[in-house]
Amino acid sequence: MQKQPGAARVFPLETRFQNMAKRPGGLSRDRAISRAEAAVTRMQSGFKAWFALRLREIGEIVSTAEYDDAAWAPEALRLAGQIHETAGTLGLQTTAAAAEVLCEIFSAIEARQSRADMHLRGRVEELIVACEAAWPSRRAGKAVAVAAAAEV
Amino acid sequence: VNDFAVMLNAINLEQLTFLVADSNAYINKLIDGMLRAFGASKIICTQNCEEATTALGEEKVDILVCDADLSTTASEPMRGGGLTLTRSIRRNPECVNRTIPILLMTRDSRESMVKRGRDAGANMVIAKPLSPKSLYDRLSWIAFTTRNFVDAPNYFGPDRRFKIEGYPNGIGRRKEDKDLGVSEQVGEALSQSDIDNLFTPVRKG
Repeated sequence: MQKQPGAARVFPLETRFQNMAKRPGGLSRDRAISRAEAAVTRMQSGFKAWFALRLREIGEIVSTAEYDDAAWAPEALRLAGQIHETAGTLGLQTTAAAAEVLCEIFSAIEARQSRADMHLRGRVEELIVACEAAWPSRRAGKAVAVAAAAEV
Repeated sequence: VNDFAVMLNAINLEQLTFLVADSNAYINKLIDGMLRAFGASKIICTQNCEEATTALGEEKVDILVCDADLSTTASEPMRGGGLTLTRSIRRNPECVNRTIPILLMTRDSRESMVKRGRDAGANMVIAKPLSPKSLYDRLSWIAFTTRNFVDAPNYFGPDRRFKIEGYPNGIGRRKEDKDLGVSEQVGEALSQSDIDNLFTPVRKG
């Protein structure tokens, strides 16, 4: 049957990925996940240096920011977002939680929902210090960062 | 995604080509490590739309794992590039990878964002931070879930109307759930005319 102009055509499709992934012989789910968890744990070793670099970049942006102009916020948000997703994926929950608060602050500034003043600058610096102090604790709820986050 | 049928099945990722696109090099490294641990061996990592588009043009990719906030180019950290990339793959009739599964990662898991990912043509959206379990289960879901494709004037991609119906493999999620399996056949099967008779009124008029 010919397709009418403007009409939707719905067709079944099995992709190569589906075809191949269903072949017998793959690792069991439990084994695959435990191997991946071990791989992620091994990759924690490079985090400290990477994290310090991102923090320094955020610190530089915040310290030179013009608070009448939020043009700096998207870049700070991008960097804080990278810390959040990386720390979270590595299982460093405290660092991820502190970075998430940073994201919320930068996001609010970007959206101009809140006026960025000296108090906010102090809070950001406090969180950065908390991130440094908390690393590499994996126990959420124990660090200063979370207490600071609750106050914001 | 927490479907029993999906969870019980192993996925074989050997000889499959993965394209990973995330502006965060550390996340690329982590995803690469997870996929290799799952059994994949060919993984191409890219850090922006430009690199991903080049890789898609040069390689036959089997699945794209892409960040919704991917940068457009190396020098331009503009957000939302992953959605643009997904749309450009789906809407380009010349693209050999037009129908590949696309797993979209996002730090913003609000409903509006998930809908934007779905409407761009992604097969599945996964929230960041990732975990090996969440990544494995979503890959498994994509592998074992059959979905039609839709080619419409304003959309090309997997059918957005889908839902999981019934118990997977006849197994319920709770202990008390009963098996939905069909009982043993008793007696001879009906002929087609017997079946037709069942749909015909006994008395006409």
